[in-house]
Amino acid sequence: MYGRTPPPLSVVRSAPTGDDDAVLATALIARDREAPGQAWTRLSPLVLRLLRRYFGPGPDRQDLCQEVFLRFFTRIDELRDRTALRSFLIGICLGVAQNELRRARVRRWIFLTQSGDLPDAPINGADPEAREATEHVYKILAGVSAEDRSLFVTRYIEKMELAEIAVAIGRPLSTTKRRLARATRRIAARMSGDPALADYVGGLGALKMGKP
Amino acid sequence: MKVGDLNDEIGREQRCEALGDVIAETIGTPAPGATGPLPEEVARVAARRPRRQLRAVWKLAPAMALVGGAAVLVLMLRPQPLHYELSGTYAARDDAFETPGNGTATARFSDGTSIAVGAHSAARVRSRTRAGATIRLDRGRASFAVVHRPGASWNVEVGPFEIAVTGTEFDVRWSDDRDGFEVLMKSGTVVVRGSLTGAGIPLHAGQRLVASLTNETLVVSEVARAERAGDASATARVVSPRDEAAPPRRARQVAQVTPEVQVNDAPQPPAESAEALARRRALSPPPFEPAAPAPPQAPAPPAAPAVTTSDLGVGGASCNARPLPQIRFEHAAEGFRVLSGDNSSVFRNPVIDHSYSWCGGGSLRFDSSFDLAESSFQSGEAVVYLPRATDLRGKTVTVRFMVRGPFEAEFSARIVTGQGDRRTGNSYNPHLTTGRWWTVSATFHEPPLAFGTLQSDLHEVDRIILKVDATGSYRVWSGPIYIDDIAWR
Repeated sequence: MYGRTPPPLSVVRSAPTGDDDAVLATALIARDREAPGQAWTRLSPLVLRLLRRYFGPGPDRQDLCQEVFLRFFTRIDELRDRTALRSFLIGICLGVAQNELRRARVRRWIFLTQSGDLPDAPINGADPEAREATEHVYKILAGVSAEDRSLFVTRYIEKMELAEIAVAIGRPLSTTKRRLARATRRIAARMSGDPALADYVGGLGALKMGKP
Repeated sequence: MKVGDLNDEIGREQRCEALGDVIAETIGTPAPGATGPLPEEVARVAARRPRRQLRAVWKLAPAMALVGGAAVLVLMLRPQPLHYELSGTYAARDDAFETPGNGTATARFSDGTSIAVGAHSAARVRSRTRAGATIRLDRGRASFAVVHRPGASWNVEVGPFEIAVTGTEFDVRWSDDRDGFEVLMKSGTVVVRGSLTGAGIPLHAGQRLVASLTNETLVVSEVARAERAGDASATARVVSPRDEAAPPRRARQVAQVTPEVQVNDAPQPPAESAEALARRRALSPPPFEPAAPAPPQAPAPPAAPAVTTSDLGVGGASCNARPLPQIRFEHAAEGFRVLSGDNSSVFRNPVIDHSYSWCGGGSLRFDSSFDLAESSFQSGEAVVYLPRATDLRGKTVTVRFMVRGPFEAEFSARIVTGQGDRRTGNSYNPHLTTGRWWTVSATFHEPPLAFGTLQSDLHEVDRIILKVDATGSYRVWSGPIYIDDIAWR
């Protein structure tokens, strides 16, 4: 099955400081001419990445990325805490992604595709075992709710803090914790039911624990 | 949480994190510039001014239009207050109007209610609603014919009184000197509230309410159908709200003195029956005249041996003698009050009667019932409260009365003055019979005959009592007793 090549254990992302986000938010609210371009340049990779990781392997969702920014610029005056600009944008992005996912499910129900599955796209630049594991994970995510999927992506792929996730999904921290635990239980249970994925995760665990 | 459960949860999180790492590695961050420049349509949106408030207004616009339309509909469909037309006079400001001395006015309301205001009257339509109106009668007379409707609410304000009406016909009179308030019910019911009425006095068809603020009296009378229709020959029931309880059935023990008695029969009117005479008089009742001022008090004899002396005078011959009697019982507004007895009283159910009168058109009538055993001497008392405390020292009190009962009945009569529970005087007039008018007099001198602690002061008498004792051999009988013209001079 899968090899024992250890994947990286963490993702390091360069996060601009809150002060930078606050300045950008102030400029956007003030309708500074340069601000939209700066926001696009600074934040569109984040949005595109989040959309990729939300929907899994497939073509880039440039159209969704533009829709996210359309809503972002339209609703920028709703931003209360200007240092939370990034969480505000992620919340909008997750909303757009969830809506798109629901629409895609409707399209599948009315047989817009023969198999009912989303068309696969080749994943380049990763080892075959990781690609196969990724495909299995997204098949599992296709069976859970849009919110559980959002929680999994933001917590375990994007490595966001619980407080950031709470702001992004617009729920209290305690509710976010409870829902994240529930989503984790559901997704982990499905992973356990996938023998190939269980073996792969077991190998990863053994590597983490220092076992051969 | 158990340790095993905690371990399971940690294991689940670790598996998810491990797979998340794999996915993050597999699906990395796009290369710089992968998203390209800011699309032009997105940039245009970013440059727009926020229009949230405007949008919110537009979102609410349909609801606001709906509410506005509903409000306009409610206003259009809301029942309008009654309107009225005035004929005979003109309404001044505040819907007030007056009538001249020789004219009347009529206000006709849109619900059919009409108010006829008599001459020399002033009234005002204070307020109007869809259920009725509030009319204020400032002076004069007014006849109301209120159409009965469900939920109708009419009010008539007269001086300190208020008449609540639901649908009826009645007349109201109010004098300028604030001393004459009168309501004559023709049909339906009303409730009169205000001065002297306590929690309110309900009136029904055939009743008349007369109130005097000066004398603080309020009388509700029963009016016969004929009088309601314009004929004054009717009877009236007197209700005095401030009367005391009925006296005990047992006759008060009064010391008897030997009076100087002179009894003269008062002959009946020869040619005309009493009923016909009274009816004729009632049709043109004599105007009420206030009590004439008492003549200068004659100095009392320094040492009068007798306290009281009695005299029976002749009846109708002195009918129009001047000065007129202080209390004539022509109508209930003369300021007197009457103690109405209960079922155990010999005299009960006092009314102003217009069928029998010694002089004028009315008398005070009681239903008398002497119903004890033959061996006892039963007494009945007609207690008339004077309009005000009166000094009777050296004065002669005259009372005229007639009993209509079995011809075998025989009785005696006495005049007693009272002041609270104390009484003075004892004029004994025996061997009186039924079917004719008697005039009984008593003169009160000082010092009065001592009745112990029950002796009243003659200078401040508040009531005059006609005391009738059944005597003779036939002492169980009943019949009306008519009292007329109480005078003192």
